[in-house]
Amino acid sequence: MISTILLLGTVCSTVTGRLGRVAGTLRRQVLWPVGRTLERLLAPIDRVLDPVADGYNRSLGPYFGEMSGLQFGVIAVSVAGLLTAGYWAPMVGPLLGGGLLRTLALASIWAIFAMSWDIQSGYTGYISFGHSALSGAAGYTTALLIVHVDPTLSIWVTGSVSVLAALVVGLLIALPTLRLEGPYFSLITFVAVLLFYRLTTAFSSLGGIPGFGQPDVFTWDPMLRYYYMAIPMLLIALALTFMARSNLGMILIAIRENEPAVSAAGLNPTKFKLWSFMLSSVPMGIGGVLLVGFTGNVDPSTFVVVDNSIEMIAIAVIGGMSSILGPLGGAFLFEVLNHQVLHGYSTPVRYLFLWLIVLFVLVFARDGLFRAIWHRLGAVRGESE
Amino acid sequence: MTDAILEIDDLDVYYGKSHALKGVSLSIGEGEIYGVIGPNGAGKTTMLNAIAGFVDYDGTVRYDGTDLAAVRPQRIVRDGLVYCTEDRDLFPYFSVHENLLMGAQFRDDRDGVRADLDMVYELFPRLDERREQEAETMSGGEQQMLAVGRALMSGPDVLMLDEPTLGLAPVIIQDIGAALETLQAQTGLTILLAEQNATFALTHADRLSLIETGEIELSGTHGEFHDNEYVREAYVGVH
Ligand SMILES: Nc1ncnc2c1ncn2[C@@H]1O[C@H](COP(=O)(O)OP(=O)(O)O)[C@@H](O)[C@H]1O
Ligand SMILES: [Mg+2]
Repeated sequence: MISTILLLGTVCSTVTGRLGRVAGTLRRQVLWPVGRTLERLLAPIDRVLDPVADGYNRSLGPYFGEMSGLQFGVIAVSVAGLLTAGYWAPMVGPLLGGGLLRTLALASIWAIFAMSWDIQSGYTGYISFGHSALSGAAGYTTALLIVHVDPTLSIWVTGSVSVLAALVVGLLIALPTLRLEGPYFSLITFVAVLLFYRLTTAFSSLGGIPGFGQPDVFTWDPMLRYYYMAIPMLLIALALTFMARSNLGMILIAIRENEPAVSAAGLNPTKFKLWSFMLSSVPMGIGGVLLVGFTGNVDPSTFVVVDNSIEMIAIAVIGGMSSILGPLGGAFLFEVLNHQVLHGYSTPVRYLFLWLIVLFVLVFARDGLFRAIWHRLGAVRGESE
Repeated sequence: MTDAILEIDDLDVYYGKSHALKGVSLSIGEGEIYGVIGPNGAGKTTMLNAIAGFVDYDGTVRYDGTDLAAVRPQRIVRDGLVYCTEDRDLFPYFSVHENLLMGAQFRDDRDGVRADLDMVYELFPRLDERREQEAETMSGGEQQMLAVGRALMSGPDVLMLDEPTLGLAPVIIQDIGAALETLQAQTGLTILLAEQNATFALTHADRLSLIETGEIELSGTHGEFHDNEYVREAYVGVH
């Protein structure tokens, strides 16, 4: 894993110079003309939607961020699409290799992970490589409660305790580390997840490599299962967007931009970094509980391995860090590519392709695909021209 | 002299073995502009850093009657002793307006914050014209104004400024000097100004100290400094 990262780093740094020039040409010759044409086509739609967006901006805009007509339209269509996916996905699915509802349910869970990672790492700039330890803590707590305490415990009991466990593990990682500066925080989160992984594989009382098969899935009905995952995901997206647009979100970004200046403004950065970690741990725990209900199995490779943590980062990067909705979009793109578009290929080939996409985004669209699209949409001006 | 709001008594700061401040004492009265001048490396920044609680020191710093030794830096800011560092401490990708709001994040008095925003925009029309501009894209002078503005948004009783004129054009320096005098006259703000630019400090300060290699060589009123041969020859360049 580490050697992969080092290799990617070296490749990136040597190739970027030339790629940068190619990208410049590409941007001027292809992307700009295409963008301008699209803008002309989309402007009328923006004009039509502007009054609706204005109504939203006046009422909810201050809490969730203002949008242009077109941006509002895209959000409305996306939310409607997600809410009705239970009905259209089974019809569209066969064109993409089938099982689309399953993929969308899985994408919802990964969206929760990526958004949770984002509110902490993306916003404060203190990059965590260990977030799967948090969802892992929740998953293992659910399993241990069912196996060792009472198999008939309700999901509300196991779920609450599991989310609490994620929060506790989050605090255990955050309290001693968030004072550290530079790469130390990242390295320690990295070590934390490696430790957790070895812990779960080393002790059979923690399930060992096979893990625990006792937890039940929520349901076998694909449509119901999708909604069990998608509804919490949308609520979490709403809550995190609200937080990100609040003063808290502003302070978190300020920490990333200039931490000493946050102190100079009379605020304690460590306190806010801690808040962001807690704010991240709770939805990570919820995501972990949902993942148990999705797979019905709690084991190291589904829950803990560091690859999971890296995948969350990749998803957030593809979508666009520090935007909450970017990582949400990134999760759906990543999972649909992985399980639908590339479904004929073996796992290594699929991941090779996915990591190449991550690399591509890092080099050419550092702000992330969905953030870039979002800004383009915002730049389309219906009223002018 | 009015009551002292900030008293520094026998301040010593060491960086490892090097003795950067050697028994510095100052007393700053409420509502005055106090200038600390001295060449590069004299210890001006070190002194301000000690007052703000950024570096350890021997000696005492009293602000408004309280010994600051055990007070956390953020608490000191909230209590009204605000420090605008040499680094200007801006958020590069935040707009002017957002940078100003960051200065007031800890405050609960919404009306007071709004009034201070109006005050800052009135004080620095250049900032008013650039509310939505990102701090990073502004000129050095505008950034300095924004840094002062951000500090003012924290509602200071005492404002410490480190080299606010460094690297700025004369017209901008004039604007900043005028702003300081307006602040003193209209809001009764106390200002502790550390400057290599002795001319600027002499123009605006009521009282001054000259610091060289960590020691105060001379203290006095504006008039005394103005007439002092040594200061004129070594620092003001007027003969
Ligand atoms: N962090 C530090 N570590 C070691 N020496 C320092 C540090 N900061 C300042 N100094 C030294 O202390 C002396 C005073 O510096 P400073 O307070 O920055 O002076 P001024 O602000 O008057 O230019 C200088 O000799 C400088 O090299
Ligand atoms: Mg200095």
